[in-house]
Amino acid sequence: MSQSTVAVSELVKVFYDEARGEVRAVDGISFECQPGEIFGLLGANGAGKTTTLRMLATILQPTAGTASIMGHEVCAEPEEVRRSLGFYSASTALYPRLSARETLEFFARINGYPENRLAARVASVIERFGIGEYVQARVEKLSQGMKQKVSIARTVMHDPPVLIFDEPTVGLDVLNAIDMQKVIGEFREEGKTIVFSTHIMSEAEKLCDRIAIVHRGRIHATGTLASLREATGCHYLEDIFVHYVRQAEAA
Amino acid sequence: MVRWREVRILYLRELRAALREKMIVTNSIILPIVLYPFILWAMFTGIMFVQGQTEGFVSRIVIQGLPPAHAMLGRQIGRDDRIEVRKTALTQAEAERQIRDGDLDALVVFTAAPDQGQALPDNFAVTITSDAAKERSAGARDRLKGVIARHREAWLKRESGRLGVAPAAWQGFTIQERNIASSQQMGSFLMSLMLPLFFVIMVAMGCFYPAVDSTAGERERNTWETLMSLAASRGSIVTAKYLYVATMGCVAGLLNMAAMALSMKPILSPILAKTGETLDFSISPWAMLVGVLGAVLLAGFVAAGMMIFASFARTFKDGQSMITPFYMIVLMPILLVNGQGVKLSWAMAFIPVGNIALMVREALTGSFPWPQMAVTVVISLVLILASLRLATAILRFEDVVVGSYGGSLQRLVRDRLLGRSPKSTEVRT
Amino acid sequence: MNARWPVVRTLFTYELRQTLRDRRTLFMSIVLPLLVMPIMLFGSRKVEQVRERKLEETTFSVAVTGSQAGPARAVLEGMRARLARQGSKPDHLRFELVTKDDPLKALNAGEVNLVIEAVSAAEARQRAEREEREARSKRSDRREEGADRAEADPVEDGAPVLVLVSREDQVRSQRAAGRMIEALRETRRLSRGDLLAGHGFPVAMDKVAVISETSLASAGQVAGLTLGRLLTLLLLLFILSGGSVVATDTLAGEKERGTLETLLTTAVARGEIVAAKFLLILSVAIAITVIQAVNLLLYVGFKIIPTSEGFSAAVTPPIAALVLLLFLPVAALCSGVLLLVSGRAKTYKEAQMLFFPVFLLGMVPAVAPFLPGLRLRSAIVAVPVANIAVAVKEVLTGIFDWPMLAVAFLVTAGAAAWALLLAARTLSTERLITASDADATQHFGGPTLLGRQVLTWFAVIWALVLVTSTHGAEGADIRLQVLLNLVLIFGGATALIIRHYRLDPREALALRAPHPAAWVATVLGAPAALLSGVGLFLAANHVVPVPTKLLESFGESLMPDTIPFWQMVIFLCVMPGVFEEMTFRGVLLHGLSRRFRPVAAALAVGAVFGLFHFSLFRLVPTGYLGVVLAAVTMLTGSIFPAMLWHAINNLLGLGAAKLNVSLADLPWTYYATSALVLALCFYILWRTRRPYPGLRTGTGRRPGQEGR
Repeated sequence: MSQSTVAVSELVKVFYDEARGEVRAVDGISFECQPGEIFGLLGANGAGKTTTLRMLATILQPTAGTASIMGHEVCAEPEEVRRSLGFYSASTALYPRLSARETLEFFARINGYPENRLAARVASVIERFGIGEYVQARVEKLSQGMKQKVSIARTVMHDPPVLIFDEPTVGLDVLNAIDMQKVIGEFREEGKTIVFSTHIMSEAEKLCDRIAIVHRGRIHATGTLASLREATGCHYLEDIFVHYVRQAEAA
Repeated sequence: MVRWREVRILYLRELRAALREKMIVTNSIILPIVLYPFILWAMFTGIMFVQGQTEGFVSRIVIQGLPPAHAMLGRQIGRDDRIEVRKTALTQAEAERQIRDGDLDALVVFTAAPDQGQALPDNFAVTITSDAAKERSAGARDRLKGVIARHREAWLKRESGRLGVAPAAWQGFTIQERNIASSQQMGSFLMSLMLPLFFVIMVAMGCFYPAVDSTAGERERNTWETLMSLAASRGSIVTAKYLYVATMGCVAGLLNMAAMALSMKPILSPILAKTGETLDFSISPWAMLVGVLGAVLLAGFVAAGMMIFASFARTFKDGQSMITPFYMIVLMPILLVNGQGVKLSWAMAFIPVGNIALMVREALTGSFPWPQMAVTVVISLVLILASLRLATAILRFEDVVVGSYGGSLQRLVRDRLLGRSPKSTEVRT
Repeated sequence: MNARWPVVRTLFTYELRQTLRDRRTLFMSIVLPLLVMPIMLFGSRKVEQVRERKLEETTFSVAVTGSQAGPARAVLEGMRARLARQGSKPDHLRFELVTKDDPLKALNAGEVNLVIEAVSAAEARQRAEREEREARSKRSDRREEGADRAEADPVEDGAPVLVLVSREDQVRSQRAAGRMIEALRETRRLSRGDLLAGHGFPVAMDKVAVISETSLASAGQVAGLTLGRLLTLLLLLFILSGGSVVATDTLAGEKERGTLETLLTTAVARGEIVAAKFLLILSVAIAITVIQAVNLLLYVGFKIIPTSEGFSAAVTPPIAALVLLLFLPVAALCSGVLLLVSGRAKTYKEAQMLFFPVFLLGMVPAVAPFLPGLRLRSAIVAVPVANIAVAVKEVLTGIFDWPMLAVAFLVTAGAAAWALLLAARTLSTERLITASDADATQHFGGPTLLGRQVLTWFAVIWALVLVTSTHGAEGADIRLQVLLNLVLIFGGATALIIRHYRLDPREALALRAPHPAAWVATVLGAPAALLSGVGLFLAANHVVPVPTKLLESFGESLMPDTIPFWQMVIFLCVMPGVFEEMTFRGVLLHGLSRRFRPVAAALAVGAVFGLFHFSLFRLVPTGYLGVVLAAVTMLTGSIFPAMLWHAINNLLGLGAAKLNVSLADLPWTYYATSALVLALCFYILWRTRRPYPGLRTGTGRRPGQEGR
């Protein structure tokens, strides 16, 4: 199917900062994604990855350009966009005083999951992620790894076709990070479209089908790891990245 | 173990950080200076405005049946430019309706005097109908009563003269008043009415935020662990924090006292201009010293209490809600001792917090009851030492210091200090 | 704002669940104060009563002195005998006569409570004359005629004058004097009755000109007056303090925790989020109201709080229900405002800081019922909260103006809806959604920081001016005062601010040349503004009665006539024109214009300027002038026209006072013409306007930057 589930075209975001004046955080970003692929945005801190993803999630309004998820425009139909989307970021926290089960139920409900199938859905998600043991415990009492599982679970509670992960392994220990990567891979196998941002080279190498190098609000190269290797002549993603950054700075 | 060199370094750091924190500066420095003078100003201006409004209102009245013999009274009422006499004919019912609706303020009906009174020619009885639930109407009633009463007095005096009573005998004696309190004493008196209450509130407010911030706030910011990993001893760290909180409370209290003393005069002078009095709001040096002493003792106690309560909180918000009950405990004695004319007696000297407020109040009015003051100091010191003792006892438990204790103060006291629960309480990992 | 009810209900349920689970915060910050406050108040009342009773039962010690001490003692002994005959009631005056060598010293030392100096009429008159001479030499003739003068006891030859000397700063002495006066008056009244009877007066004295009163208000309604005044104020206090705890947590707290972002990525609309949180705060507000009401009823019902007899009559169930109904929009408005404030804050602490002024300002409308004669059927019905406060007072005093009650309800409810809309908008304002780590401006400092902090600076300057303005002011030279205030404080503060924020003085003080036409407009506009301002307030007087003092203060100048006119011109016209403009239309306007849009900035500058003139009655005309001057500065891009305008304005006021012309008594044509002239001047200024750099326009783009 050539219908892109995620289509971004010339997206621009300008912030107005009192001290620095105009800041073009995102300066014309375009890309498209298909179902069953993990598309990675790779860049340093402040490159504009998070801002781009936030615009996709309709948290921020684009200054110019268009973006659509499952055919819904982010500006025109923000709710439909959010309904088709699962957004996970290290800063999107859980409610401390709800239990794990209540959290899952809540997110299913407000994302519009039909009430009559809710209980079954919650049960299946609990089983899939193995949260059965502590499903009654309050979130504030869970360990980091448990919270992470519940977080992922709530992201996909309403079974969205598109998933966005903004630096998901930041702050996780090695084992939990590996777990996270495994789960993301599973989502890809299920045919979901995954947009993934990171600044960790090894992660991008491992997970992404296609990678976009982001620097100073622009994408400087897009492609599979193989094609990028060919284009730059470097083997390691790190070198590839530095190559493009240098090129961008020289321009 | 408390090493004073470490304490000094830590203490200075806390102070420096505090002075850069907007909220602490606002609560402990700016608010004491600006807020209470502002409130006083707003209150007095408001009261004056309302009074001006009340006095400014013209009373609309209707007079019926004024006996011709007392036409003078009618003229007197008419001459008073705060009373407007309406010349309309109204029935009782109509007048009452208008009064209820607020279109008329009072109805004055003169009738013949009842039986015994009729022996006096030209005697009358008068009924004033008004609505006590309306300020204007009640005001009209009072004004009319005043005018009629004065007329009555004059009439009686004339009658007495006619009957041969000498004016001196009728007058009997003249009453005059004189106040020999100096303007300094009056000023001190007025200050002493309000200052102690605000003083305690300000010290408590000055301690509140730093106490939460230096315990729960540090945990929230994750700087607590950094602190724990320093070469300084736990005792030094806690002592430094305690001194810091007490300093902020003390400063807040003293600044407020100064601001209030300085701003009373300009605020009250428009009111005083009317009576022609001058008031002097200066604080004598001895009173200042007592004030400083009071601030130190009070801040010492309040800081200790607040820190104990706050040390069980893990977030800022929790810290605030944990301290609130202690805050109220501190304020309660004030309401008991805040009445007029309460002195620092032996009984009062034993009430914590209240005794300090009373001591400061007495000092402001220039009275220094040394024995009772000594008792106050002793009681306060005892309280401070007791709190510090409690604090050290609590801090023996490492999990409390480290911040991993999951319960509350009550549970800790019950389980560990009183040893009721046999097993050690669960500790969060 | 689209909101689907089922979604809102789901959100609300979960929010409520979470709040209820935070038992500690709920209890400590909301329930506990609610329960404890009444206990504390009641407790202090009780203690107060005990103290009162003790005071009533004191036996005061009184010393009598003076040339007429003998007759005075006789009177007092007679009085004491009479009191004793009347039996020992709890509140009758008890005193003992003592002899002291130096009674005044004893009074000062506290050994006696009251000294009665009994002198002859002649002596009293001599003393009065002497005191009058002293008073007149000490100050100018600014003393008002006190009403007491007319009420003073007449001095009659042959009747001793009893001067009750007390120390008003000692409670006992004060009380002794007060009770003694009452008792003496009563004694005199009785002896007059005896005199009349003894000389053959036909009737008993108390049957002469008997005054009786009929009150149309029931006891319940009278009690309702007191209750009605206080109720709204108390309610606001509790709702704002309790509700703020929940409000802070539900928006600002969530921003900090990061859960707001999570919520924003779900299929819920912004409006629905706001609605759900609003309902949460509203529930808390209503719960607080109900708890307080129950509290109050319990205390009254069990007679724990002593109340006047009419109280229970005032609060019948239908009336209580009506009052509760009227309070609903107030609770809604408070909740909306709390939510709005929390929405504008990025962190928990910031929200708390913002709440403070909201608190104080929120109490102001609740004071409306204290104004006498203010009826609901007046302009007040358009002011939210104030209208409900007045409505509740009226209802409790038996007035049921149904149409106005409905209007008040709708106005306040409308205000609540508007607050909600604004709150919803904060969720769309991107910079407010997530807690950014640090404010960029805090790092860079400089002029951008000024906008945030300028009001704090002015608050401190205000306090400073308040303190210095009347200390040592009596008799102090007005010129010295001007030098101190204007040059030292204002000038010093301006210089300090410019230095601290590293401002460019030319920018900050708008030291630019204006368009030549601006000068013409200034010279014409200053008198026009003055007169039209007076006219404006005279007109407003017809709609909302304004105290006459307010009108008089226009063009009022309180200057003594001891210094030459040319000096007055310098100190009262030129110097204020320069220094006050530099401070207010210079630094203050510069700072505020970065934060607010032009209209709001002008109003803010005017308000602050007005507040610096501490008398309430000068506040409004000064504020009006402040707004006009700010507008002039922004239109001309320069501070100089404003300086001239200010100087001319003061000069006119001075001149009018000198020539004894009252600006408030002119024919209406003057005001109308001046309004037209003023409009013309502003038109000229508008057409020839020069940019005021840094001015905010609606889109956030800065016009000044294009030129760079």
